[in-house]
Amino acid sequence: MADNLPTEFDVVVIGTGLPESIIAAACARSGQRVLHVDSKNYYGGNWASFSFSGLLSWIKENQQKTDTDECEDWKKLILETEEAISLSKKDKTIQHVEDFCFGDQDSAEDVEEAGALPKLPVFGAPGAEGVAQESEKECPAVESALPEAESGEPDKATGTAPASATEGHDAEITSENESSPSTALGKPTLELGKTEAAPSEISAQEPKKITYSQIVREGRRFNIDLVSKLLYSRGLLIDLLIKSNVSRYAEFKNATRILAFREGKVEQVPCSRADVFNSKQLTMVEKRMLMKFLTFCLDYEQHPDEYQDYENSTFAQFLRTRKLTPSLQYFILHSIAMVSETDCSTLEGLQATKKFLQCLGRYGNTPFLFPLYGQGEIPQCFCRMCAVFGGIYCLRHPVQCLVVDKESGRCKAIVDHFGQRISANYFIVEDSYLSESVCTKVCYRQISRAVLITDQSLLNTDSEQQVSILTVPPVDPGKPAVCVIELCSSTMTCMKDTYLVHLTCPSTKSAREDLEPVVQKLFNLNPEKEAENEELEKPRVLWAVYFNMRDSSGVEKSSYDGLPSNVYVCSGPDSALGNDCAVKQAETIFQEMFPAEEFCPAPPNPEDIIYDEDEIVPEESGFSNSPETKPESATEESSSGDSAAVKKEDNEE
Amino acid sequence: MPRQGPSMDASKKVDLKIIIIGALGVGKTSLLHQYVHKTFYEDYRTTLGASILTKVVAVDNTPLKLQIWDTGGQERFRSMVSTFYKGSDGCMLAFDVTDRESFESLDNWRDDFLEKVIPREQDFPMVVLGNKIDICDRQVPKETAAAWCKEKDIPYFEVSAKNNINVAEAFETLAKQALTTYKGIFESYLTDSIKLTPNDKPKKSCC
Repeated sequence: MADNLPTEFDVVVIGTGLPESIIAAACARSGQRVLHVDSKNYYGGNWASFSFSGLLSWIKENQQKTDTDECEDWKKLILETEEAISLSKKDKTIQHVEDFCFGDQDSAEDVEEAGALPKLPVFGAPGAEGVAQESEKECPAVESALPEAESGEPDKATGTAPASATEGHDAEITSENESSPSTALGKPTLELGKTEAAPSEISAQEPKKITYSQIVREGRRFNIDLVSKLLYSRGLLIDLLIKSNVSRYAEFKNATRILAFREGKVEQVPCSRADVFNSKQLTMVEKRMLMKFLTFCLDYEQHPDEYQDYENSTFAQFLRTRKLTPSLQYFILHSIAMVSETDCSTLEGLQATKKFLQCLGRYGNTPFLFPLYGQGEIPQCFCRMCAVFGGIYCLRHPVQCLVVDKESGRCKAIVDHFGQRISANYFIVEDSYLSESVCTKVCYRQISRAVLITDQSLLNTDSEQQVSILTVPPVDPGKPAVCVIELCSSTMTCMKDTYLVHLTCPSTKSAREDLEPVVQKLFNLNPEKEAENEELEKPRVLWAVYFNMRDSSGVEKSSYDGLPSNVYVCSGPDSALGNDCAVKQAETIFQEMFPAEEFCPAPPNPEDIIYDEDEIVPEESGFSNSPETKPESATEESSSGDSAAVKKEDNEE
Repeated sequence: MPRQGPSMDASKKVDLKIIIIGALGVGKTSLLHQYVHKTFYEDYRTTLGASILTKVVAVDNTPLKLQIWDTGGQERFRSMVSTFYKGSDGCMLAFDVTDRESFESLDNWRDDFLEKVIPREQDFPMVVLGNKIDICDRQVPKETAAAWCKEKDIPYFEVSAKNNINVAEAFETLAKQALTTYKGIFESYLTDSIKLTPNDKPKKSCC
């Protein structure tokens, strides 16, 4: 239904990344009329997440150097008393995009992404006790055709083939293919089949052989983030999500493991009391040492005598003076504090360790949460809140320029790509929308990123569904560490039997140069070749992409040329693990614009739970069940009750 | 989300996310409010504030917590966040029987939904609501709408949010469908997740 866009707002926000989305939500929440636009047809900008096909499109777009046409018609709309600040025509924040497919790409030529409507009749899976129907469809006969399978497998596979052959015609095709394993992977008929695999006989330990075709077909099960971050359980973002009630729009999974990579092996780092007690890797002595040190860190400020002599040393040097074995020092430095060996002071290191420890146990065994469906959900949750409070949303809506009043020097309006003037009092612009001329003095850093799709976890244990963070210290101690986050399929970011691995570090060179050495250490990049035993144990990379992303965080507003005072700039993603930068930015900018307003308070109408009176007797839940009574009294109590709970928690720390 | 009352066994209750989509002004919010709060506001107002309404019902002896998401007005310029679609267990397509265009755009809304949800084995639970039957000036005959729905194999309900006609039936049918589908999905347990609420009490610190 076509509708006309209003032409007057209080605040116009350009870009739907995290900081600007938080600001949009805060503004709408405080009663401002907000217009929130993005030139793209998706939310999030550089904070977005994509399905597999979506990411391939994004890659293609960023590998092409096309220049869009300049359209000058809008200049007629600028009055003599005004001047225009053009905005950027093309996003230039992504560079050095390189993608690699390690499977047979040709077989995927005619494979289509599976839609929500099943295209083919569903075959039953009667032999599939204990095996989910879905996995059967994903790898029809491929499992039974593993060329390099362990000794038992091929026999098992052929053994069950006749049984599955009775299920349907297509099964016969697949059993034929078993005898020619080299062609099995390439044959398109496998895809047509959708027959059940040799069922429960396949042991869960063997990595299922996932093909590139399967990845393409199941592409919508992937939600691949451009940004790789985690949420600290006691961090600014979680606190904001809870405070503002935006948390209702999202769900989270615990990061379940902290990993380390030492002497060529991946191991789990014990960091909670329970972990330490249960650890089979630490000796009794080490356990005591570690517990003692971590307990001290938790309120280190109370014991200045313990560290004041080392205030001018690095944290790494300080650790050497404590009764800690080299392994423990390594774990604390790289996996718990996650700080630089050379650049981090004792106090910084202690503070980082403390932050980690304080976040333990709030929701789980590690300090971190990860949003279901990926980080790309978070900016969208704030956009939703903005919409719910009246914000108007327009994707696919580029903006040509800002219109500045010459006399006052203030920005009055924007001109959009339809040639429409839209006026407002405040303008929030994400950095990538600013033209080169505005950014000439800005010195940008870069973030190196890699995303891998792999077939098994870095560390196999009894549970396949793990979310792990692994910090790989640099070979050269002056360089940055590489942060590796491995996501399992239950985070809804990748298809079953695969893992999505994100690597991040502040850039020194191209992303591939910065990150491939780490990828080579941890993963097997040659799945087809006969490999050494060592390589066999490593997870196989099925597909990979590397790219550099501009890091516009921490840029002083004054570095931008000629921006009026009522135009605020939001940065893109930063390279830190948490989201503090985005939240702080948003709050600062909001408070500058509206000093008297509260930043994202809880909405006055918390969700009411209505019980169907005939069926169930509701307990006294403290929430109002009669919405006709205007919220002031009853729900205000409950919402203040909510915030009291939050505050109380804080005081208990 | 607030915790449910202790009379319901939290471990047994099924949480279902239902979304309601359709053109601007067809009455999505009114339908929601009629079903959940049994209220109807005559003047048109866009959703302000409460964007998710929850109703606990019992379907086939299973307590269901229906989380029904309103669009928040983002359908106006076809800029719905994909968060809206993710994890949904059922979809309500609504149009206005006095607005032909809103019926004709159903195809687009349905396609949009199917494009944005994560594909599943079974068909997605869906129902279509032709709203505002209380108004005489119809533009979409019942047969036309029914035929479209039959072709797509989606149940059709003629409803009135204002007079509370057929509203509960439509929601309950969708809820039943969604529950059946939910039970059929082996991996539902995998998305056991953490929902942040201001009430959550931190576990005892582990260190």
